[in-house]
Formats: sequence, structure tokens, C-alpha cells
Amino acid sequence: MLSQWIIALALGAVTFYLLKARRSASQQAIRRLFIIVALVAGFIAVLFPSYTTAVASILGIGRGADLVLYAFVVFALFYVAHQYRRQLWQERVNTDLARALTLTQAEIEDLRTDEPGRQP
Amino acid sequence: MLRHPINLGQGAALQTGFDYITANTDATHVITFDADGQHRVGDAIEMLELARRKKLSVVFGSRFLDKQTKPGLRKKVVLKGAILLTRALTGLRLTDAHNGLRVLRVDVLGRIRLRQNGMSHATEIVQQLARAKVSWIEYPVKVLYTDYSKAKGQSLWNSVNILIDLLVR
Repeated sequence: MLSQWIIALALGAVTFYLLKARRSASQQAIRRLFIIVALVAGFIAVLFPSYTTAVASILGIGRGADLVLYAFVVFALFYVAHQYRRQLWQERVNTDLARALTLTQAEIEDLRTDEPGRQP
Repeated sequence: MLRHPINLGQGAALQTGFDYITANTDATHVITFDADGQHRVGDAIEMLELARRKKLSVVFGSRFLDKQTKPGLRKKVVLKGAILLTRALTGLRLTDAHNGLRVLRVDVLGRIRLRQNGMSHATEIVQQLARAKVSWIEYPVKVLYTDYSKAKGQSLWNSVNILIDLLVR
């Protein structure tokens, strides 16, 4: 079935995003376009509920509600992956900041006590 | 004594120490150790002498090179798991993957950039040293299982966590 290929591909993309993707402008742009497309699709699905069933049958999924569910699951997993990466990045920034502070403090301390680690 | 304003973990602490040593001192070697009282100062001194004498870049402490240390069965299984994981991830055939006692010559610090703030740094540091192809040796040390270090003991689940930490970064 076509839908199986699409969903498997989407899950593969989520895995790739989690493991390999690096922060870049293109990635951010794709993410934003994706959200816009999802919103537009959402509006259309609300206004014309029969469309979801039509699209679902093209993809080989029984009901429109199932299509919406699958799309939601993929989107939710992608969101989890994205947040995980963001958190890692945030931790890295925190670490760099704390490290810079600690090293600066140590250098001030060394200057004040006139006792740097470096021996003459 | 350097102190992070917030607790970041051992890996982050080591990296900050490395940065300080590199930039502000003329030290020749660095000794890393776990601060829970499980290592002996005498072992560290002997490892440092060995590194100097044989001009080695790295000396790893190992509790499994002889029979001095007597871990319980549970602990043994956990540590063996960590060793197999480290071998798979780094290619370095260490006998004790999670021994915090190490002697590093200062010039190898430039080859190390720890990004794992937590305990996964122990595997990450071996990974980076393996990639840098530095000269290394293991030295038999005794690990004291104090009540404090037992309370902070690790579980087999940590091998899973380390694997995922190193895969997703």
C-alpha cells in the first residue's frame, strides 16, 4: 500500500532528524513550511470532511479519520525528536556559559592571590 | 579549586578543568579521579610515574588487571556490560571501562572535547583518545567500595543510556 511506504519513510525521516540533522536555515525553513501546510490541510479537512476520506482511499487507508490519526502520530514523533534536540542544544549552551564563568572567576582569583597555576 | 555555578556533571567538570589547565598552567600531566573516595592516592602517583617513565600519553586505571578489587556479582555484570559497550564503540580493548582514575599528558587534552556532561563522558573520552591514536596503557589499581560510592553505584541500565547519549547528540 502507498500509505505504508509514506509512513515508513516519514518515520525514517524522524529517525534521521534525531540522529544526524544539524541546525541549519534550510531545516528551519522546511519545518516552518511543514507547519503551514499542516495548518492549511487542517482547515481544508475541517471545511470539507469528505476530502480526508477521498485522500485516504487514494493512499490505501480505509477512513479519513485514520489518515488524520497517522498524520498526527508522525507529527507528534517529529515534535518529540525536535524537542529532544533542542534540549541537548540548550544543555550545551548552559555548559558553555557556566564554563566561561568558572574559568573567568578562576583567572580573577589567580590574579588576586597572585598565585597562578603557572610557575615562573 | 574550580567550581561550576550550577551542577553540570562530572564530564562537564573534567572539561572545564582541562580548559583551565591548558590555558593557565604549565602542568605536564593531569590526573582525573572520582571524588567519592573510591581511588587511592598511591595508585595515582604510581600511574603518573609510569606515564613519565615510559613517555605515555595516557594511563588508565583498571580494577580488573589483578584480583585486588572484589566487586560483587551484580557490580561485575554491570561493569562487564560497560566494557563490552566501550569496546564496541571505541575499538580500544580496555579491561575496565568505568574507572575514573586516569593520567593524561597535557598535550592530549587538545584532542579531547567532552560534550557528554554526565557519566557518558567516561566512554566518550575513550572514544576520542582512540580516534587520536595516542599511546596508552592500563595500570592495576584498587577501587575501594565505600558506603558512599556504593550508594552512588551504577546499574546496567546505564549502558543503555550511554549508548543513546553517544548516538543522539
